[in-house]
Amino acid sequence: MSTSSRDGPDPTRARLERDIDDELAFHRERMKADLVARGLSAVEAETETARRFDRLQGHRDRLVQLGLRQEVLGRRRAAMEVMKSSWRSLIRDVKRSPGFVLGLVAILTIGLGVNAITYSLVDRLVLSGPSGVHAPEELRRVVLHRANRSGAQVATTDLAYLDYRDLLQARQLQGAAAESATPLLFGSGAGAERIQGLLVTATYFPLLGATPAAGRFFTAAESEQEGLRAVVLSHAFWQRRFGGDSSVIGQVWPIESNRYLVIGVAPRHFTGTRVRRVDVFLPLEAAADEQIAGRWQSSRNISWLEVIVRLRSDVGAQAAAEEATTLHRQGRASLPAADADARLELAPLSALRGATASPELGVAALVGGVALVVLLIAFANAANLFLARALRRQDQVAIRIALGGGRRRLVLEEGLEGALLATGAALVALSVAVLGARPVQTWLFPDVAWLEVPVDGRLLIGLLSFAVLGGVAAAGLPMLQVGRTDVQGWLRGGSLRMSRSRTRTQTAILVAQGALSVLLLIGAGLFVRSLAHAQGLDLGIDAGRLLVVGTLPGETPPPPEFDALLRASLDKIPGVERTTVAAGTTSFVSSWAIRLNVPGLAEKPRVEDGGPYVHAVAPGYFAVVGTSIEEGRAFTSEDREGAPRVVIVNRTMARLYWPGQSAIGKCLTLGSDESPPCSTVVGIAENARRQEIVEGESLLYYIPIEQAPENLRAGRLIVRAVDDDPNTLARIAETVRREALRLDPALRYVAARPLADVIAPQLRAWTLGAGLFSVFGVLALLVAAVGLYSVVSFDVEGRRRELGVRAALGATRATILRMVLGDALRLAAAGVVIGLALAWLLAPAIETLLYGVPPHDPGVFATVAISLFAAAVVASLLPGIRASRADPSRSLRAE
Amino acid sequence: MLFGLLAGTLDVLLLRALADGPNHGYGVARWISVATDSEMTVEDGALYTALHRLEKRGLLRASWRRSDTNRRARYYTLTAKGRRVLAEQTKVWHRSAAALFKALGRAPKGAS
Repeated sequence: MSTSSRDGPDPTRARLERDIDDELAFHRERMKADLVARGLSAVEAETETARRFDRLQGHRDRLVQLGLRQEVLGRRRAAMEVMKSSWRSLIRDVKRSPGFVLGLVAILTIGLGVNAITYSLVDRLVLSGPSGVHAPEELRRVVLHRANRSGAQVATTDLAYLDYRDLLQARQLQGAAAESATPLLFGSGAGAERIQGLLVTATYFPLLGATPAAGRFFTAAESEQEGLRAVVLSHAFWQRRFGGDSSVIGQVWPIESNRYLVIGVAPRHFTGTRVRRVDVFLPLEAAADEQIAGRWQSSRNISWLEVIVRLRSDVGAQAAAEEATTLHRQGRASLPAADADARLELAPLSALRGATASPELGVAALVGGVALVVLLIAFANAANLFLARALRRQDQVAIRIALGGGRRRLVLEEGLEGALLATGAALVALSVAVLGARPVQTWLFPDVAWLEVPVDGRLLIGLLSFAVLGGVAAAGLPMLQVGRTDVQGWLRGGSLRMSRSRTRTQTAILVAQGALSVLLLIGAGLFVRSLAHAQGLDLGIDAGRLLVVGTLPGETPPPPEFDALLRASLDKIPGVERTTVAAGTTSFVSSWAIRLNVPGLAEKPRVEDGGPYVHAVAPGYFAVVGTSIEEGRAFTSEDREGAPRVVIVNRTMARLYWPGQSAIGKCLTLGSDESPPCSTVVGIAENARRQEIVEGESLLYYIPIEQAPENLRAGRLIVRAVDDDPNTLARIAETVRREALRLDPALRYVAARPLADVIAPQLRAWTLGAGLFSVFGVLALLVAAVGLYSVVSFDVEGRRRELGVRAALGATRATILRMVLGDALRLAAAGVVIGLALAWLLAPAIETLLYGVPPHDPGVFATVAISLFAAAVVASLLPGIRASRADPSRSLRAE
Repeated sequence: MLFGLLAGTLDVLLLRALADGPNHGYGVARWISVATDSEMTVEDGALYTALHRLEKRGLLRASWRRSDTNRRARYYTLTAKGRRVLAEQTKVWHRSAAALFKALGRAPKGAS
C-alpha cells in the first residue's frame, strides 16, 4: 500500500499509526483507571491491563491495514464526488446560461480549430520532412555563392550539369544527384493534361533511399540513352490517373512530344526533396530536352538543375563543403570569366532563410504565429468569461467557503468543469479541423502534395490535452482569485452584496486582447495594401482581359489555314473583343531573343534582366494587348514581308540605346545573316512586363511577324475579352477548345489560359497574407469587442447603486453615458498603445513579404487604432445607454 | 464472558451502544458490559476492528475530541445510515431471538 517507501515512511501510514496508538493508549489508560477505581492496587491494575493489552497489540497491524484501505477508498470517493458535482454544475450551466456555454465553446473552437489546421500545415511543411526519404537530415542542397556581373555576391541553387558531374567525384560525400522540376503535357486528345514533372539523375532514388512501390527505378544507362525513354510515376498520379493498376507498367505513354515507357511507381507520398506535388519522374539526361534547349551537357553557363548530396557520417559537413568547393573551382578554372572565390555551401534541404529558403516555410511560420495569437485571445476570453461568472457567483462561493466547503475543492471543481467544457469544444474544433483542413491546405499551398489524411492522430491527442489544460487554467484560476476573498469580512458586512467592480485580471485580459487584435489588424492592413499595390500596378498590358491559346498538333498535321480559320471563328464568339497573333516573347508566358546589333554602337547597354527580348507580332497587336505606343506609330498591314523592315522598341530600350536622342528613325540589324538589312525604329512602346509583376527593367522590342525569321512565324493566338469577368474568360476558354477541336480533331492538346491565372501565383504571397490576417484580425476584433461588451455590462450592473446615487445627485444621462464610454475608451487606448508598440517592433520581420508599403505605414497604424476605438464605442454603447436610462429611485430602492 | 458472541451480534451491539450518543471505544465496551450485566464482554482487539470496519462502511463517523478527562480521544458517532441499519438489525434480532426462545422453550420429548 505504501507508495513512497523511497522517501522514508509514508506520511499517511505514520498518521494512521499515531492515531491508532493514541486511541489504544486512551483505552488502556481508562481501563487501568477503572480497575483502580474498583479497588485493585496500582500494581495489580497495571499487570491486568498489560495482560489484556498483549492481545490487543496483535490487532494493531490489522487496524492499520484497514485504515490504509479506507484512506484510499475515501480519496477515490471524494474524487468521484468532485467529478459528479462538476458534471452537475456543467449541466446546470448549460441549462441556465446556454449563452455562456455556447460562447465559450465557440471561442475555444475558433482558437483550437485554427491551431489544429495550422499544426497540420506546419507538420507537413516543416516537422515531418520529405516523405519516403531515408535519413533526410544527412541530405544537403548545394548552394553556389559567387560574384555576379556587377561584382555583388549572389547565392543560387541553380547549377550547370557539369557542376553536378564534378561533385560525383567527391570522396567526402556518400553521393550526389540532380533534379529539375518542369511542367509537362501528359497523354493526348481529350485525355491530355498538364502535370508536374521532375527530371532526376539515375543516382537520385538510391541517394534518397527510396524503394519503388511497383516496378523499378532508372538504370544509369536508361537515364542517358537515346530512343524510347523511361518514366517513373508518382504514387499519387498512379492512383489518380490509373487507379493503382500495376498493368500500366510496361505501357507506353506520350509526354510532351515524346513517347515514354512506364517502368515503375515511386513510394507513397514520395515527392523528392520538396513537398511540392510531383506526377512523373523522368531521366534527367535523356529527357533534358523537355526542359532545356542548347548545349547543356558541355556548357557551364546553362544553370538549370539543383544538386542534392548526402553527407558521410564520418566526415564533417565543413570538410565535405571544402572538398565540394575545390572540385567546383577546378571544374570552372578553365573558363575565362571564372570567379576564383566561388564557394559551395551544403545547406539543409529547406530553410526559413538563405538560398534554400522555401516560401512554404516562411508562410507556415507566419500562419503558425498568427494562429498562436488567436489561441491566446481565445483562452484569454474563456478565462474572462469564467472570471465574470465566478464573480457573479461570489455570494454562493463565500457561503460555501464559510460552511467549510474547502477552497481547494472549489478550485478543483471549477477546473474540472472547465476541462469538460474545453474537451467538448476541442471535439467540435477537431471536427472543424478535419473538415476544414484540406480546403485551407489547398487554398494556401495549391502546389504541395498533401497527404490523404489531413489531420493525424498525434494532433488529436495533442489538441485534447491542450484543451483540457487550457480549460482547467481558464476555469480554475479565476476561482483561485475569488476564493482568496476575505470571506469573514464579507459575511460580517451583514449583506452579501459586495462591490462588483471589474477586477485587475479582467482589465489586463481586456487590454491584452485589444493589443493582440491591433497586432493582427495591422498585419492585415499591411498585406491588404501590398496586394492592392501589386494589383494596381500598370503592367503595360491589360492582363486581366487576355487569354493565350496554346495548341499542340497531333499525329497528322493540322489542316492548312487552321490558324486563320480558328482566328476567324473566334472573332465571332460573344465576349471576344478582338484577337491577335504573337510569337517569340509573350508577356508572362515565354521569352525569346535573337541576335541584335546597332550599327555604330560598340558596347550594347545591359540590364540585369538580360535581353533584349523579341516579340514577333501581327498588326493590331498593341491595341489587343493594351500596350500604348508612346511615340511614332504601331504596325500596319503594310509592314509585310518584302516591305522595308521596321521595329518598335520599348521605352527602356530607347532610353538606354540612344540616350538623349529620339530612337525614331534609328537603325537595328536583326538575325544572324552575314549582313542583315537595317530595321528602322518606327515607334516607342510603353514598358510592358516580361514575366513577373514585380521585375526590373527589361529591354523589349517588337517586329512584324511577317518580317520575322522563319522560326518566329508560328504565333500563338491572343484573345482579348470584352471584360475581365472570370466567367466571361472561362466561357471563352471553353469555346476556343471546342472550336479548335472542331477544326482539327487530331489535335494533341489545346488550351486557352487567362493570363490572370498565370499571374495569380505571383500575387499569392499577398493574397495569402491579406486573407489570413484579415480573417483572423476581424475575428480577433469581434471576440475582443464581445469581451469588452460583456465586461462593461457586468460592470454597469455591479455599479448600479453608485450610478443611481450619481443620478440622484443630479448627474445627467449624458454624464453617465460619457462615464461608461470613457471607461471603455481608456481600456481600448491601453490596448491600442500596447498593440501599436508590438506591431512597431514586429512589423519589420515581414518587410520582405510586403510590397510598396513600409512596415511602419502610418496610414495602416492610424486606421487600425481608429477601428479599435470605434469597436470599443460600439461595444460599450449599449450597456452605457442602459446605465443612463436606469431609474435612480428604483436602483436605490433595490438596496 | 459466559459465551462467545454470536456472529453478527457485535456489530448491532456497537450501533446500539452509539445510538445514545457519540462515545469512544472504551466507553462503548463499558456500555456493552453494563447493558448486558457483564454477561457479555467484547474482546478489546475485536472491538476496534469492528468499530473501524463500521466506520469504513459509513455506518459510523469518527472524530477526535477531548474526553471528559481532557484527553485526546477518538469519538464515534452514528451516521444516518448507521441508524437505519440499527433499526433493521434490531427487528431481525428480535425476530430470531423470539424464534430461538420458542424453539428452546419446548419441553424435550418424554421429559414429563
